[in-house]
Order: sequence, then C-alpha cells, then structure tokens
Amino acid sequence: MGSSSPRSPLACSKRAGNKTVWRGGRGSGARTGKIAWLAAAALPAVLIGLWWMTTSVAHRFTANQLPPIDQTWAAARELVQSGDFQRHVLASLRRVALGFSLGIAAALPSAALVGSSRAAERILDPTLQALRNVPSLAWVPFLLLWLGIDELPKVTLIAIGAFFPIYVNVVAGIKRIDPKLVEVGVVFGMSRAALLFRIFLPAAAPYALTGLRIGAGQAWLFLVAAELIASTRGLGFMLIDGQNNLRPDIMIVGIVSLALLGKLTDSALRLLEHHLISWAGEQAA
Amino acid sequence: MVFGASLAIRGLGHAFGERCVLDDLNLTLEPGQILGVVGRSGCGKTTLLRIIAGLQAPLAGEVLLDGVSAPGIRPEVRMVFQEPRLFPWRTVAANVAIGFPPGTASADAIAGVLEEVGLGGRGRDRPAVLSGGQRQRVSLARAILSRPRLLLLDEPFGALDALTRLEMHRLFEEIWLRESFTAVLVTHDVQEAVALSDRIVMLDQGRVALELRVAVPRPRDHAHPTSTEIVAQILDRLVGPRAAHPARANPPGVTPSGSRA
Repeated sequence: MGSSSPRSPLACSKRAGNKTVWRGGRGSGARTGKIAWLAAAALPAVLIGLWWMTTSVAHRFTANQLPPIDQTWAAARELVQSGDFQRHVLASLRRVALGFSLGIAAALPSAALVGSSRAAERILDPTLQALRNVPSLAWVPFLLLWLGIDELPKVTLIAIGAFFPIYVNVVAGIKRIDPKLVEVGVVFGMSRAALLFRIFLPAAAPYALTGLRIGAGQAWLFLVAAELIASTRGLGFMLIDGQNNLRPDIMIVGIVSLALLGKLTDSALRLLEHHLISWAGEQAA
Repeated sequence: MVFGASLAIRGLGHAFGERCVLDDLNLTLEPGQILGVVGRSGCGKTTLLRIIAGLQAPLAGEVLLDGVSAPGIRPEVRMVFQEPRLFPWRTVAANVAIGFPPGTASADAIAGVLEEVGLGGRGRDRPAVLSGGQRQRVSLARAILSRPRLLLLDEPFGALDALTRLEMHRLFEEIWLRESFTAVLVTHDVQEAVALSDRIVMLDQGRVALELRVAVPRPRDHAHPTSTEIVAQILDRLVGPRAAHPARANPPGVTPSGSRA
C-alpha cells in the first residue's frame, strides 16, 4: 500500500479517486524487473550486514562460532584456487543429475500407472504414501549394506528423494483432469493408451513440472545425506569435513553453494515450465 | 443413396437409481434427417444422446444403426457437446484432428474443415485466444473431420449469445446440406429445434409426448410462418397455453369477448 502510514482499504480506495490509482495485477517492463532484483537482493544484503556487524564490528561471536566475512572469503578463495571446490561441486552436480533423472524415470511410469488404473492405485499407492514419510537418513545404512559404498547408494538415495514429490504431483494432476475432456477422447475413439498419452499426461504436465521443481529441491536435500556415505568428494562431504576439522568458514562456503545451486536448478526448471506449459496460464474451456 | 446412417431406437429404457429417465422409448430416423429432441430439464434428452453415442449402456432396449445393433463407441458416430471441450495444450488444428492417431490426419483435410466452419488460417492458434463462438466452431470442425454418418449434438449452441447462435444455425445447416449426415440435436431451445430439424420429438418422463414434422424448405429463414406456428405448438405443450388473466381479459369499460375464457 502507500508509502506513508498504514491505511484501511477504504481510505485507500477513496484516495484512488484522485491520486493513487491501482494499476491492477503486476506491472511490467524493465523498471519492474530492476525493482524485483533489488527486492530479492535486499534480504541477503541485510543478512550479510548482520553477519559483518556481529562478527567484525561487535565481536559477538568467536571465530569458531561464526567466522568473520573476510576469513570465510579467504577460505572460499583457497578452495577455488586449489581446485577442491570445483571438484566438490562437480561431484555433487553429477550425483544430483543422475539421481534426479533416475527419480523421474521411476516416478513418471508409476504415477501414470496409479493414475490410470484403479487396481494399481489400490495396490501401490498406500505403500508408496507410507514410504514417502521415511526420513532420508533412515535409508543410509541399508543402502550401504545393499549397494556398497560407491556412487550407486548415493545416487539411489537422491533418486528416492526426487521420486516422491514427482510421483505425488503427477498422480494428483491425472486425478484432477476434467472428466469432460476424457469423454471427448472416448467419443472420438481413443484407446486406453491414447487416452493416457494424449490426454492424461499432457493435462498433468503443469502438476508434473511442479513435482519436478519440488523433486529437484529434494534431490539437493538428499545429496547431503547421500554424501555422508563414505565419500571423499562433494559439497556434502565438504560440509562434514569442515565440521570434523573445526572449519566453520568452509561449512559456510558449503551452505551458500548448496543454496545457490538449489536456487539455480529451480530457476532453470521454472524457465522450462514457462516454455513448456504456457497454455496453463491461459484460460480455455 | 444418402450418406447418413439410419437410426432406430427400440424399447429403450434407463434409470438412475429409482428415477426412471427413459421408458420404453421408440424412435426411427431416416438417413440424412435431422431429429430435434426437446423437453424440460431431466426429461431424458441427454441420457438418450449418451446412449446413442455409446457413452452409456441402456438398461433395456437397443440402438440400431442401419438396422444393425450398435452398442459402444462407433467410428461413424461423432458428437458435439454443449461446451467446446477443446484441449488447451493443443493448437486448433491438433484439436480438430483429435480423433486420428497423431500425424495421420491430412493437413489439407484439417484446413478444409476449418475453412468450412469459417476459421480458415486459424489452425496454429491456441483455443485460449478464440471467442466462445469460435471455440464451438472448432468443436464442430473436430466432429465432422472424419465425415461421420451420424452426428450427435448436445445443446451445442446453448452457451452462445443469441446472435452467435443464429450464425451457428446457418453454418450448421450449410454443413449438413453439404455433408448429408444424419443428426440428433438435443436442445432446450424450441426455436433452435424448429430452425434446424426435419422432425421434432418432445420427451416427457422418458417417453415421446409429441412428434412433429417440420416441413419448411431449406435453406431456412429463421422467421418462416410455419416455423413460428410449430414453435407455438410445442411451447403450448411444454409450458401450457397462457391462461387468460382476469384483469386483462376484462379490461374496465370493454365488453368481454368471451372467446378466450
């Protein structure tokens, strides 16, 4: 609302008559884009400011509790210069990419099956919904026992993390399809397979992309758990290594990197969403 | 030899729970004719259409196409619904071709039917950018692309504004004259039924309560005197003739004629 004191909606609408005009919806253009960037950067800037105040200015924390910015920056530079950072990021990216792909590959057919067959739903869905609630760390010992200590258990754990949000969302998308559209397919002679591929799955695409975005987030979350498994590389390892060696500065570098990579992945998927399902924003009957 | 299929309905009965919606219904329709089905809401019109389409199995009786029992979905039968029911993620052309496996419908044929419904050149648009009337044109094009021999229409123009509806009547008649399919048109709108049908049946409690032939030459003028007469006749049966209001029947100072009493 206005920049001055808080107003009631009534007062605001009165003002709209002469001065403040509600332009409706979101603004557009370069200016709004710049404002959005500034708004998004404001909170990180405040946090960095607080970090600097509490460590370098007020010395409220010891370097073991929260290292000052310059020390952390130095640690980051050192990691990059030695090539360790790149090695960790690449290892993590590779695991996330593989695990996420595996999760998608498993989730889409399962969701298609459960969404299109009543029997499959009755048999599979209750179990999957129960397994969905198992915390990531609970799987770790068993994955180690079953799949060894190499890359496979790590990728599998990430795939488990990515699987459930994609599965749940695609099933929801298939369930929520307008039965009238399905009826059109039936009257126009579509087979069950044609109904699935030409009506159910495209109609569920917006849900699937939401699932992909949540799934990608989960993949990064499960990555750290996965890299607890006898690993020597990866951002998760970097975190644990920093903890074991009392290097909170390295841990902060790890946390910030994970946050940025997660955000980047999400932005990429949002872009994909925007291109693939632009129709979902339009209303049509 | 007319292209359209002949349709016969024998002893059709259907009920939803305790409520009987079709009761020993018998109808026949000559090839290439348009049958209008009118009646109050809940008289069984839509159920009848869904049974003919094969979307629903009747509890009793059967539907014969060209004298042969025809249960289930048939490739020569197509349907136009009240709502356009287009797929928002497909282009107009892809929506029209929905009845064909991907890539098998000829692009020329699609362009041809779009031209026929007055949407030439709009094939690459998305349904979302079309108006309500244009969307219904797409749904009509979709239904006629495979050259059906029986076309079923469930209140196809009911959601359109009055002027667009008149345009669509004219368009539909033109298409029907060219394609010569048989058609069953279910509608609330008695004027629409009279404007388009060769025969009209009025359903009441699952039975045929009134059956009329509409002998108006085509292409039809929407204000033909015979049409107006038939509309009045059906409306009288549907809602009853207007009872003479005492105050109007005997305006002060005027001698009552007594003729409408």
